[in-house]
Amino acid sequence: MLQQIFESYGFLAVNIIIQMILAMATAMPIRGGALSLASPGFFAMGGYVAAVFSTRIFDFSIAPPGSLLCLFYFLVECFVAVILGSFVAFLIGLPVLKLRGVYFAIATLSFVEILRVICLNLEITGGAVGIFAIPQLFNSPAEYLILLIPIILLLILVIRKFEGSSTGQELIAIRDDELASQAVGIMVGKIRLKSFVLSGAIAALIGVPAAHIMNTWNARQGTFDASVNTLAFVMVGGSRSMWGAILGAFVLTALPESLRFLQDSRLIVNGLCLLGAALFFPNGLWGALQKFFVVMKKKPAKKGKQHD
Amino acid sequence: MTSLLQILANGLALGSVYALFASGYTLIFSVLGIINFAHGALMTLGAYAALTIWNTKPDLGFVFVLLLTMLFCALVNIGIGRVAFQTLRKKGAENWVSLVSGLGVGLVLVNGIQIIFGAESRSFPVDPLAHFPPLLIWGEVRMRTIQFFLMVISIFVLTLLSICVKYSSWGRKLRAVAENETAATLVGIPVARTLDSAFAIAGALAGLAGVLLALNFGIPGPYFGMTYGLKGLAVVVLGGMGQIGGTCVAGFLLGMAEAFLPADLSAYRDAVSFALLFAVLVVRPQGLFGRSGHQKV
Repeated sequence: MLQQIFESYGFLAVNIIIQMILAMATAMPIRGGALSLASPGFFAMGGYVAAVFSTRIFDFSIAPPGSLLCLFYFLVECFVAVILGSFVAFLIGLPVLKLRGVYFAIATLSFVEILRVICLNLEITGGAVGIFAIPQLFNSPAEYLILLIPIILLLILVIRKFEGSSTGQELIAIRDDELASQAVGIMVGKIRLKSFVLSGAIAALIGVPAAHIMNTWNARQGTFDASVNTLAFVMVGGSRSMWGAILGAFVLTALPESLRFLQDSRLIVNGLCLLGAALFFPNGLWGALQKFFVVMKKKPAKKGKQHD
Repeated sequence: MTSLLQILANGLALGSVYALFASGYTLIFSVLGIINFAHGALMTLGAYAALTIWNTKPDLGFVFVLLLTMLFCALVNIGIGRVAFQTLRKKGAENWVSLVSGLGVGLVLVNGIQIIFGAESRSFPVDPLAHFPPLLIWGEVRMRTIQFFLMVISIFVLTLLSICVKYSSWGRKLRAVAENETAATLVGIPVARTLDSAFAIAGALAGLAGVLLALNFGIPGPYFGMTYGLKGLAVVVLGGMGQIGGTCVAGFLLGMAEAFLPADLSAYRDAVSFALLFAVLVVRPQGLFGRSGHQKV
């Protein structure tokens, strides 16, 4: 029974976790008021690192799925992806982070598009067809959860730590009032760059397992559509907290799957859900939940006062 | 070997497509500061609306059908503006939330069209340009007639729009609303009606672009409008915030840049516009024709 559930929903569960982490990466600069659409670009880059390394450099024929050597290869790929992701994020962020609002969003979007066209044309990324036959790390999709659950827990810890640190607090201050933060001596540019680099590193990292699971990797992984989708995760879930992004990714990845019975009109309902979420929960689902719980908590407290 | 003049003509033809698409986009984005992700979908709706009218009544005149389509798109866009953007404005939600609501509307429109008409490509059953020669030839230079019309119409539309926004009382009201809604109300400007009118005009322009681009390329499927969305964004930002004339020039500039790209680099064509955009944003964040010192919040 349990095995059956794992087999039919294993891939979905893996996909949900990957999207959650991507949403966490996207939400990171947004917490500082910089609307980044770049994370699918870094995600695609991480995937290409995994694809190129595992098909050209590493010899997976001596490493059967699930073996220690396999894990070692995976860790090396993750390491390279994180280094590359943060380096490119640093290079892009340096000139771009001085832009604000919509302009920053459009600059990051053009980065994603430029990267996509370059990947479509380079030989090493396999051109338009992409890279095929990326070796699997495990025998079934569900087993990837062994890797992904620790990764997401670790990232949650890292991001919580970051949010609690002075840098994280300064980031929130920047979002609320940039001029005031500057006035009290917060290095706006430096803090924003830090959050952007962290975001790029996380997105590139999660591209690595994604490429192994998908088996093939091509330029379609990092497109305008993907950018908009991940942005929708954060906006629908709520951009004021990491949990909002996680919730948003869960709902919007699981929703199309659970709407499958609607067949053709599935995407219409998906669109209506986006519209409804934006109109009725402008602070996101997480914001709405928080509000709901605050109201719930307050009511008994009021009653208590009356009894006194 | 194509001559320099021919490349220039190709660039103009391509540029007019971008400029025409961007005309409705720029009104909402550069004046009101809203990115409307549903705009491309609305353009598709216009093309399919015209197709439906012709399929039921093939003997209707082109101009009549075009006007009918524009009216239809204008009405639809008023609805979109009220539901997806004005409610958010009233609630005081963050600017970004409108990206999601616009995207939601776009998804509903595109997939609705797909269910009704299917995903296959279509073309209009009538050719309104049948009594013109298909090609215009001046010496060495050739241009398809429809492309020539596109060019003339897009320049005309953007010039007219630019003049209206700058000098007409409607344009002044619109800019006042965009600048400060409360102050606009205080001096007696009907805010809701002014916003409605902007969305109506943007919608009509989307309809116009949809019909004309479908005449040029056919209708490749329900997603064709959305693919212009991104390039449209690039054109509008390149032109500069609030600079409708700048949008026109930027559209042609982009067309030229893509046309002048050497043939062995043609695979990188789609990257050109974004590389240009990226460079301009870094060097001149206010856009090519925007005023400097304009606060970008």
